[in-house]
Amino acid sequence: MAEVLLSVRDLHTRYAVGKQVLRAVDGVSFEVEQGETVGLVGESGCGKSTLGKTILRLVPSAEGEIVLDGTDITRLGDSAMAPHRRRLQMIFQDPFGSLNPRQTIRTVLDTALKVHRQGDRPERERRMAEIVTRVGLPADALDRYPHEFSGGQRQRIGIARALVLRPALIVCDEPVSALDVSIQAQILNLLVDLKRDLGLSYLFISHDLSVVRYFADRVLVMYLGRIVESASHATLWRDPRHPYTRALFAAVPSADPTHKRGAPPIKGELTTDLSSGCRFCSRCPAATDRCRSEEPPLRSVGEGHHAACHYA
Amino acid sequence: MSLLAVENLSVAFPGHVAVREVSFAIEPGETLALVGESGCGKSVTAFSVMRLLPPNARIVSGRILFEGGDLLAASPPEMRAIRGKQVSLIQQEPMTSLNPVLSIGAQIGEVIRHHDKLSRRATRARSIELLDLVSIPDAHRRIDDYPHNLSGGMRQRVMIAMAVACGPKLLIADEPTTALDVTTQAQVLDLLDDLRRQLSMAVLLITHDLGVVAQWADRINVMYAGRIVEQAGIQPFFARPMHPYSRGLLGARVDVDADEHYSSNRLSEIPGSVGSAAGEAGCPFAPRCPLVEPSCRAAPPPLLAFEAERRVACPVTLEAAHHG
Repeated sequence: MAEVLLSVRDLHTRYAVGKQVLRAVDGVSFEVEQGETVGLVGESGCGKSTLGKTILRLVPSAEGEIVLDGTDITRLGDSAMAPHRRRLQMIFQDPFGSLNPRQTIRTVLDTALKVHRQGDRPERERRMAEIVTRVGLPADALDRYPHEFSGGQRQRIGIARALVLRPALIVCDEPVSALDVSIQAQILNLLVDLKRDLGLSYLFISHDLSVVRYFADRVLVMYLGRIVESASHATLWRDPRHPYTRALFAAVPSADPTHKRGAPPIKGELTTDLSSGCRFCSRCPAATDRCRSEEPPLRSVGEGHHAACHYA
Repeated sequence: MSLLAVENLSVAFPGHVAVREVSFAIEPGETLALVGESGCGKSVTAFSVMRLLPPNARIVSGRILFEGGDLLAASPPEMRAIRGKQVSLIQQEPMTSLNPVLSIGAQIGEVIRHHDKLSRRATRARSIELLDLVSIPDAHRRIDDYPHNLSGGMRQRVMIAMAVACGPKLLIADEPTTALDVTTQAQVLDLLDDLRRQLSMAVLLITHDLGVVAQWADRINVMYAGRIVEQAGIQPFFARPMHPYSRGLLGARVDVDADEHYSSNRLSEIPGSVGSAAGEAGCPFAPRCPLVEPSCRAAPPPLLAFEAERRVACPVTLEAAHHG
């Protein structure tokens, strides 16, 4: 078994909304192994992006532990955290929003290297030139500004910025959602190549089940702050156990017009109503009295397969 | 006679032409999908039909015939009588299309009273009926809610209620579910399809998602760089996409039913980007096309008939298809 790179244990993140407390991440535990891609799927508002940001320490956690390479980084101070930040990078959904329009690509990349005290000037130049060609940008890209690039190329810049620091784990937050289909495939292929060549691990956050099915080794399904099912990609698609996972799969339109869909299996939308019992029971087609009173724990339902449903 | 016939439409913005010689027709009661990537001109085409183009856009040529009358020749008051009554539009982001300081009842009522002389009481009753029709629970209470009280899916249902309030013959849905989650998307598209049948209206469905097209449309028009490159019925299109761009799009898409994984399959790419079409004298797809021949670069290929109901703007593909 591969070595565990990241281990998250019983993590909680809370936001204050007026006088109320929103439990965006509510007791999540999982591991990412060396060289593994873990997909995190769920609908908007389920807490998947907050979970990614909490792991990167961009949002403070309320409880729990984040362990990277055996070091608990949950409560490290800024200077103690710095070397771990280099190992833990992020790619954002909107590449334009995450690039400063007044900085050339050279400044963007060089700042990251300088902040982390990586090499002297010629060494930094060499690394920047290398990474720019590695992600498939033209060699003269370094002296140009973000607006001179198309959406797909900007996402390549975002990837270059994450990779120039030679990280171990990259949190990808919807990296292809803002891109057109033809560009999506280019970026996904690039991420696959980089993972193979550089031995990267990914935490891949997406609402797009088709992309996660293709891209992840293991998949976590998140609903209202909790993991409701986790399994290897092959197991999850062959044998989904949680009614929410099944509903998600059934709702994705197939590009085969002869494969007609049935009625939508669930009604309503994600709520923030966290009364007792299962979070999904108000939308679940199979909910019983037990579901309304008792919250199901995430339990093993097969080899490496967990689901949080009384009837899974 | 077709319900809507767009003939040879070209729309220009300062510095570039967004829509080039586009022609298509919609028959009463059908769902026609207009598919393409961002910047291909699909939304500009829709806005031309509504005559809601931004002030710097210019219609260079063409006619838009709705039940035989040219919308491009209609006066502003005539257009106001058509919008909402004969042709309606729903857009991608319901929050920006709704007025945040008016209750949803007031906004639906405004549409009704613009077209029909109804008392306030009758308008309110009709608004509640419409909210019921789009499956908003507790319609008689919800009618006094404001947009911020509603979820994204509910807001899109309110937009649909406003759009169908006066029983239009044509509904233009511009990326109606792109901002919604996948479970909500299925609910909203099923609702649109039910309403299409109940009210016998035609739908022009603008989307970039081929899965949505396969499940909810009758015919497809694929656009690339301002031109229609393929027109076909849904079954023949998905069984055998013909234009190299159509094939590239379907190949690059990860389908949720396909058992593909990065460890065994590489996704097929369309090299380059739409930007490479700039300055191309011939076929706009030529710089990215795997089948490109020198003749492709001379002039943009016209849409040529292949079978009944099927037209493809690629002589190279058609030549190969005719020879077996």
